[in-house]
Amino acid sequence: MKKVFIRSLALAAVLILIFTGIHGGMSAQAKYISKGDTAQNIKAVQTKLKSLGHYTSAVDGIWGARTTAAVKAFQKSKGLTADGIVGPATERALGLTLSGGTTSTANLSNNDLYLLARCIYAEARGEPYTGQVAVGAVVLNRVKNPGFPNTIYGVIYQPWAFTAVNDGQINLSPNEAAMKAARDAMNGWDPTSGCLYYFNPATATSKWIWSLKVVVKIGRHSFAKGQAV
Amino acid sequence: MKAYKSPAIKRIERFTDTIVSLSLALLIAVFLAVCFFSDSRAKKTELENMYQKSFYELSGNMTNIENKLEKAQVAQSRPMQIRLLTEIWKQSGESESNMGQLPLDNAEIQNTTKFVNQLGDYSNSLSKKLVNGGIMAESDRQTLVRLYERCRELNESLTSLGRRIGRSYKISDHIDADSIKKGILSRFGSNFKDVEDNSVGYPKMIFDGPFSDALKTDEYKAIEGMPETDNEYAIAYIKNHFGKDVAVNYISISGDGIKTHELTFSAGDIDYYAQLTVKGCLPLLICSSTFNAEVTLDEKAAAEKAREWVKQLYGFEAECVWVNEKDGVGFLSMVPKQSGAVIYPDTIKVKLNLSDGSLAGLNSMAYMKNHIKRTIPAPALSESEARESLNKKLKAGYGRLALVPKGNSGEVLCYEFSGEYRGSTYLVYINADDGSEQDVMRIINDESRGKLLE
Repeated sequence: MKKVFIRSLALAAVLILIFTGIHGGMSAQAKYISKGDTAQNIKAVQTKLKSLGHYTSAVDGIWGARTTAAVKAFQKSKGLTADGIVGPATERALGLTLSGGTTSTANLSNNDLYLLARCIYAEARGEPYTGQVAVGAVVLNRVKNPGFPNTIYGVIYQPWAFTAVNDGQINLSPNEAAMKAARDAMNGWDPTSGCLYYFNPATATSKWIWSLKVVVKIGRHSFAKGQAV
Repeated sequence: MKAYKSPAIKRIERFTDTIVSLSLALLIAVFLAVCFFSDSRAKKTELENMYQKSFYELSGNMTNIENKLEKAQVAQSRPMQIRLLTEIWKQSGESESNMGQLPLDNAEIQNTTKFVNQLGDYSNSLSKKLVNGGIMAESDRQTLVRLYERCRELNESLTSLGRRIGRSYKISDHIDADSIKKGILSRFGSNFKDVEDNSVGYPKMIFDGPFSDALKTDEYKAIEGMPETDNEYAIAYIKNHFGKDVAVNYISISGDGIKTHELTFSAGDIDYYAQLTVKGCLPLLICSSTFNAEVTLDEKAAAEKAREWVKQLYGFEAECVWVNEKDGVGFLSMVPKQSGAVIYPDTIKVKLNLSDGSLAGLNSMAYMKNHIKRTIPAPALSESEARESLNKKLKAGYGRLALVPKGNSGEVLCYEFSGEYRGSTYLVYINADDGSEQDVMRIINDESRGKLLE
């Protein structure tokens, strides 16, 4: 009887482990840095690459085309896959230990600017800087439009308005690029000249959004004004 | 001594062992699953309750608005009219907020949102007019009647949907998140859309508020009549102002309403994105990220640098009216001067790297929309006369003439005075013709956004 008892406990333990494993695995994230990671990490990479001669621009903590090119050049020189992303192998080859994501900005959790930056980071962190400003501008254009909610919070949290809000990415800490882009947008910078919508042509599934007239295309996003409301 | 068991019995024993252990394991798994799912069900109920609360509150708000609109048609005294209109404005704000909490895609409620927002904005506008001594005109009364009728239709549909919700219609059962991603209405969404469609014929709302239909203008006065330029001209412009050897990547002509040359270029280690107007080839927007470098320019030096940039790129002498410095970046507001007055509606915003005064960005949308050669008549009051209108408690500083936006579509000539009171700095705008107080702004230092005017 004791054998039976032990065996069934063991089976139950296995079942619980499988269950929690599946549950937990879904929220795990790989630690890779590329565009959109913290300024701290990016500066470390840039400094190292500069000392090795692959990177010749300013060490500014912002991931741009030149940083990607420098990483690729380094990877080629070391015989690694030249994909421009600092994964664990590249990190080791650089001789760096990169930290988990923490933002260097002060505690601004109740602030319009901070929420806008979170939205930009969540929605557009792989995009060129101007594309990030443009996403911020779309949010602010919606606030000003009578057909949308009247506050930044209302617009960002409107049900199904932004996929990154739906799937919780809005809760990630924004990096410095996103904060700067949010500041530009709050100061009136609008590369879209008043657009209310944007979509990624490579992934958009909504038939309706494809019917909108595109005003400008920046990075992977096409920006549209929508029907006159 | 161990009992002897035949192979057959051993097999049976092993078999029952397996069955028993499997069943026990299954029981434990089922127990866990039930715990998990009942927690999930509790959350679902909570969510459904919140949806229903928002729906009923929305219904309540709209009924209140309908009642007040009805009363406003008969109210004769100005104080009564103002009270009703203010109440309508408040209720419309709440209904917009409640609508925003329902699980509806924007496309499903866009028209209703617009109606509610314009209704509130119009009421606020009208009540301001009355407060400033105006009277309710016949056209205003007609508008109130039309708004009331639309409201009543909307409420009929809301009430009938409300009755269904009261009788075991669960909102959360009628939402299909997957179909929404594909742009198809959820079932709750189509029920709500019927509410919208039943109240067609929203009137075009023209009034002086931020949600007015009159505000949609695609006029760009500054470049009116200027010659159209081509891509070569645009590239030459960049090389002319940022360096002959600058590599320019021309993208295309884009834009709706205002056509621009879209291009990128790199100058002095900075990557820029620029939009130059096709007419006249002036920068509408220049965008770049900035460096976290040490600040070496103070406000005065930064203003001087910004002045140089505006002179070089737009060809006029600008006055710096505002500096916001934060984290090594300066946002400066530059305006033209005319007849001794600073012209606020024609603002060009300059973003500078405060380490070396290099250009980080330009935003000239306001200038493009509003700048014309104005005839500004001499003010009726002198500066000292206008000073009389200031609050005596205010420790007044400088004064100057300023053309400021009035409401959402007009402009008015004022005297701008700075003043100190109780440790805060204020900017007070006195109408230059009748001495009335046009606006009062306070300078605040926001922790994250720097110096702001509110």
